Amino acid sequence: MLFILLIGSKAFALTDSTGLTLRAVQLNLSTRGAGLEVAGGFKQPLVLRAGVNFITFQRGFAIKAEDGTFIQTDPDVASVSTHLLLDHYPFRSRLFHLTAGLEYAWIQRYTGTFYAHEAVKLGGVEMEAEDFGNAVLGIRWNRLKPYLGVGLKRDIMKRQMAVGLDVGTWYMGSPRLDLRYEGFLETTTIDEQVKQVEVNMRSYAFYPYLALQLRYSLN
Amino acid sequence: MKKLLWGLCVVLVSCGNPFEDFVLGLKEPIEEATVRIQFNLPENGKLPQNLEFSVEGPDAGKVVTNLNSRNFKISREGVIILAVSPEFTPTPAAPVEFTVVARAEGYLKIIKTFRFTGKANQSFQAQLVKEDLSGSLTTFQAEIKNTTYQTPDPTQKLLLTVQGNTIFRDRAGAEIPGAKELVMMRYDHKTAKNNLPAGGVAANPVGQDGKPLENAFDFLQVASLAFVQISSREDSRVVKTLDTPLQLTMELNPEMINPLTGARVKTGDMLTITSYDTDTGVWKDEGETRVVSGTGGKLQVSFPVPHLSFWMAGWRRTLCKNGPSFIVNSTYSGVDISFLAQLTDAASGKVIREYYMAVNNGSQLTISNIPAESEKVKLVLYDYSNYHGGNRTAPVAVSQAVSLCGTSTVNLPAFKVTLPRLVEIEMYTNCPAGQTLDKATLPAQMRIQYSEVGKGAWRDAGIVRREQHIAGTYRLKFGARYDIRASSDGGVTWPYQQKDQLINKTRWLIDVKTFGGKCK
Repeated sequence: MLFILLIGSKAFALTDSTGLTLRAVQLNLSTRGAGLEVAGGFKQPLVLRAGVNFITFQRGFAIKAEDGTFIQTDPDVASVSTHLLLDHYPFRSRLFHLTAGLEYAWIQRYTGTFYAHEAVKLGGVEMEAEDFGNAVLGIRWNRLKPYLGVGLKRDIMKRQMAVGLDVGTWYMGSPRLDLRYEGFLETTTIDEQVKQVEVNMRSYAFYPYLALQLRYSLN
Repeated sequence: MKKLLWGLCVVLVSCGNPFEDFVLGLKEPIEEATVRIQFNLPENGKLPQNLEFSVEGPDAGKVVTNLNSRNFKISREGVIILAVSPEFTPTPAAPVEFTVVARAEGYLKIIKTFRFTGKANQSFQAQLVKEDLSGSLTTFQAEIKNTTYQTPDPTQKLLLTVQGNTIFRDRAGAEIPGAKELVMMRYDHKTAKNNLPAGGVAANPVGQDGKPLENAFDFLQVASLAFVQISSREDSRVVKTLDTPLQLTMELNPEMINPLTGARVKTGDMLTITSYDTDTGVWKDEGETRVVSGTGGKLQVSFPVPHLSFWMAGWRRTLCKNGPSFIVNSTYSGVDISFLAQLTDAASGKVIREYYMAVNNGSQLTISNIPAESEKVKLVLYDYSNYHGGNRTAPVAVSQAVSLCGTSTVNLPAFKVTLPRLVEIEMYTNCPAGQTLDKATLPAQMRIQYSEVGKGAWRDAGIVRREQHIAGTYRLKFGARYDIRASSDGGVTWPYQQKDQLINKTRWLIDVKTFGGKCK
């Protein structure tokens, strides 16, 4: 994909009709996963960046309960999002920038499934795997997320290759929890407690963003 | 700029503990106006996989599970407890009535209507019976399209003739239009007596005119027992009456002995016809019919059926409605096991019936609905309990002789039965020094069962409640090993187990710290 972008950007005029000049493509490795961005300048000291991030994680693991018994956990994390960021370079050095922008998550799936292969011991009592049942906990945030941050990278690269840094936060809104279950949880007050957890997590509305970029100049 | 960076810093670290004030408690089961439905487990100890269960009828919206949920799920042990929602109070003037429908492919459809006029609890054994069975029990299920239906047993058929122009009506007398489903079951003379509804004792029967009969009765022999159910395919409304009666024909086994003559049943023998309404619990004398020779010379009885319920043909015997009461004299109280008592003929010593009776001082066993075949009887008590066995040959007490029929009261001394060691069960949380258990945080109830280790044959040990979190039982044997399990939902599910436990303490602790038992 990077190759296509590079060829495309070299093959066509790098300035479009809006005056936007494509300056760089960059690979992102960030707390939002892996991603790709293109950056373009249209009016100094502003740089516009558009990109995509994706992350996926499905590897299951076991949580130790009591007396050598385990609860199996199968996470299902998948996020694919696109974003548009505007960098503002306030200083003459043109290295430090402030950034604001928006992201839209096309896919956002954050669930964990909990179950047991064999009997589980909890709180001094034992539960057969069938009685333990299973629980699927999902968490959702707003699909549209504003961003605010700072960064270190030059707006006009002096070399063909360089690195960049972004630090900031996405505002995701308060999370909504979704718990579906069968088994012993059906006899408990877990539904009320999920509401309590949701209240406790109101402040989990900001997602920290740390991104390292490998940049390729198109100039 | 500084403000911006500071704001950024704050939002990155401002998350609190998501599990603050998180306390996982147990739901409190509804204990009034409930119906406990127990399904049999016909698929090698499991329910059929395709079993569909629903609650129908105009008051279906007032029904919840005993955990106040609308998720009607049958436990893997075949139990579901339904309840009238606490938002409604059933009264005789405003009863709550609903119908439970259960169907599984290859099984007869089960329809049962429940009516609540107060807070009393009910129970129902739901039998999942395979369709198209042949043998002692023969079954049939079909949509009503023709006029004649028969069970698949080639030797002793049950035949049903439906008049084409009849009108089907529900219990309220309203016509039930549209497509209908028919379910038929027939037990032969070998199995019928053991499968009679309500134990086969017509305690308060009515005559053909609907007026109460003077005497209760049961059956010496049942030649054939039939169950016929017709219901609306659309809404499972059950047909109760028909404007033109059905005709029911029962083929009989010629090897069957007529208990009145001692000879094989033959044409000309008279059989009594009885019906039992499962909704109202009313036994009705439907008259007599004569055994005739039917198609192919087969013996049969045939009679009109104007209302649908259980119908049986056989020979009855009269029962004494009211018998003597035996009152226990002992030093015991709170004993939750019972001891074997035999009602014997005072003259011959022949055992008439066996009971397990409580031995707490003042407890009472009242004999009722016994065949009037003895004049005087005695009650003989053995040191043999329903939980631990014992000696069932040497009596420990014998009452004085009393008349079998007619009310009388007799004392029975029960001082000599042997009680095992009392074991107490306690809901418990290990509190740190200086703190005590906050009983208000205990689960509302925990039902406890036990089984011999690894056997899975569970028996009740008792119930501990928030208000009384210690319960004593004589059912556990001190020094024995048991699997123990607990249920917090009234006995629907039993998720909490303690396996292979040695009962070597007089107080058995059920740790509930995970489910709300807090210290203060």
